[in-house]
Amino acid sequence: MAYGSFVLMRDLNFTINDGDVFIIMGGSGSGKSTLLRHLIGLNEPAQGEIFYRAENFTKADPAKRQEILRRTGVLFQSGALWSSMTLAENIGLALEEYTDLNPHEIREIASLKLALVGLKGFEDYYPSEISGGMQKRAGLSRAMALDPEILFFDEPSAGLDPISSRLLDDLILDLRDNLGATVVVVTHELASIFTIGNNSVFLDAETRTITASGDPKELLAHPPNPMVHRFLTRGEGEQI
Amino acid sequence: MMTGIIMAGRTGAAFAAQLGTMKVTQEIDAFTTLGLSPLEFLVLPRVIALVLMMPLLCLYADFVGVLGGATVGMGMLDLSWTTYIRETIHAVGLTDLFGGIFKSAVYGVLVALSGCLRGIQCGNSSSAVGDAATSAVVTGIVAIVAACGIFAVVFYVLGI
Repeated sequence: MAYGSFVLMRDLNFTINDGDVFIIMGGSGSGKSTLLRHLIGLNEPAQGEIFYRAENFTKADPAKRQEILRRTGVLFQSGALWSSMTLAENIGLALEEYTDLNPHEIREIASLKLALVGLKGFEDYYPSEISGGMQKRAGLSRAMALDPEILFFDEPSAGLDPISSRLLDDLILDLRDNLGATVVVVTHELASIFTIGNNSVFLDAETRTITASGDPKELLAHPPNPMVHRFLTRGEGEQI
Repeated sequence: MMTGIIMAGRTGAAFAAQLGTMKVTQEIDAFTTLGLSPLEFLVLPRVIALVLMMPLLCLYADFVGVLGGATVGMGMLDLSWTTYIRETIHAVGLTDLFGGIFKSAVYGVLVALSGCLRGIQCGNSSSAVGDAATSAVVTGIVAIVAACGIFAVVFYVLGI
């Protein structure tokens, strides 16, 4: 990954398995969100390729990319709900574009998706009329609109109180268990990492590459290097 | 042309600010990751809206211009209302009217594209949104002036 001639990260090799809750972790500025943007096609890798199952996403033509992206859902850090549309319209847009459902059915599905995240009755609210936590949950229901195989979350806990953050973690696990979705989460919230993650990579800003991978709980029990140990223990026992 | 410049300052800047803010809040990224084209959903409707509205605004501006001329003619040059209207009808033909309407539609395209282009090119900060709005106005006005020059040459060659 590079911005112009500045190489942010190199030699990133990892596999995400079906049914994983895969955590991309690392300190601030290590390139976690940038890596996510590469995975969903918003940034292009300076070198290397990204595969979705056997399909080469990096070299795919625009039509193939769109088809692959339709099988994914993204929850952005800010929610990124379209501010000029109601919550129901936000969820319904992808359904309108990609299915033959009539407006009544689309509305029903939008209500159902909102109910899944605890926002039943908020169909006709605009994003500016609800709280930040509700916007995140509405963003999640939009990401789920097309029943994606893979869900990407960029800092889902950012800006949320501890209880809302915990509820969102429970929701992520529900999605994995009940819908069979694979979940990729960018976060540095330790509580979330240990609660939901079963696989991970650690991006090290100093060495500019992945310095650890695997189950976060295993990494905590047997840290492969001091940096990972410091990160996963919040540097406890050290003078900061 | 005046209508176009006013719209570049008002609507072109508004388009750039709207799309720039959508870029900052990742709303444009949300279209892309759903496989939806931001051009189709965000740019095209704005261009069509301005192309349809600019001729109406042009007619309104023409009407106000004629009224302004009447005010000056009657108030300062001692012309009568009937004389002013008769001379105006004599001096301004249908070709001028429709030429102006056609030009205004083209200016509408230029203003809308300038605003949308600068908005989509916007950086990821609030100051970048301000820069995008400023840049959209400058680009819009420069495009209108350039188009106006081209129209003058083309209309001259065609004898319009």
